[in-house]
Amino acid sequence: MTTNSPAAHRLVPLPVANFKRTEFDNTDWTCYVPPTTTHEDLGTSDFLAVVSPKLKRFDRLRFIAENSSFYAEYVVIECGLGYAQVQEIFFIPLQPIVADASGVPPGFDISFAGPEHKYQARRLKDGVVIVDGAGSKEDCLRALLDHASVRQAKQ
Amino acid sequence: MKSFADKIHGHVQAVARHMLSYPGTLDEIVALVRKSMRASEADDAEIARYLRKPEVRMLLSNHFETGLWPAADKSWRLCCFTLPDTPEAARRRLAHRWPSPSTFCAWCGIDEKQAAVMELVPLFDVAGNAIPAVRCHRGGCARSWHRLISLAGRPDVPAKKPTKESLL
Repeated sequence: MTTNSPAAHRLVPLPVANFKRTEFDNTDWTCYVPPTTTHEDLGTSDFLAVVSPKLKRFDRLRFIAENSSFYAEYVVIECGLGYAQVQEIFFIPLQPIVADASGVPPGFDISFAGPEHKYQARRLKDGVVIVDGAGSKEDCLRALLDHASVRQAKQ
Repeated sequence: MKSFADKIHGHVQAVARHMLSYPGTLDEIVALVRKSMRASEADDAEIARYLRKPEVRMLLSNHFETGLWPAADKSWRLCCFTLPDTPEAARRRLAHRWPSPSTFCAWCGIDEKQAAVMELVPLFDVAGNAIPAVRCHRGGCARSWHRLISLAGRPDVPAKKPTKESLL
């Protein structure tokens, strides 16, 4: 496509010399980190100070919490002896919906009510059953969180 | 009106919750379910035929916190996969030791004796290291044990206030 402007952008196809298999050029590293590691820790240069001699520019780092609470990917921008500047690609917390006491919204209670009703979620202040017949605690909690009264309470 | 299937699911779940884990013949398990149902709405053969189906047992395992599977030599296993409510209770359960770590399933406590090498598998943490002295039934028990570990790692919940709030 031709244009009239003097500094027209010319598309240059990627040359073969710049086209390499990633596995020959860079490494994907998997790092198991203690669950106490914060999101900010992962991005600091000091965190990778000990392993930095093994890193190369544009290596990809996968950070996996030992208790499966988060998963993150970073790419190395600059590295050398004792320092590594990284850029976050994404960070995802991995907590599943918690059906233990801390996951239930306040003012509600989830309990097993026998074989006919299975798991029920009740509102404590008036005893009204919000969710009935859920087969598992997680299903019951999910249905409760979706319910209109709980969503309104959150807003 | 509850369907036949829905009733069976509920009663099998209730029996599993009551027994925690039960090794026995399928006829014994069906008899327990019938006792729970109390009415003669279906006969033993019909319940047994329904519970033999793999898709029903998959449904029970994934949605009703109940494991039912055939083990060696015409024996069956019924197991409850309900997790404890608090991280404190989860830690107590993780610390419990059965008489033999190599033949007892860590989650349900069924002694598999000679069949342990086939029925029980070791568990691995995220980094691929074997968790010492823990073997579980493949599938439900192993999944429950992993969830127990994850629950135990959560921060403690403060003691619950009385469930009945004042009506005033």
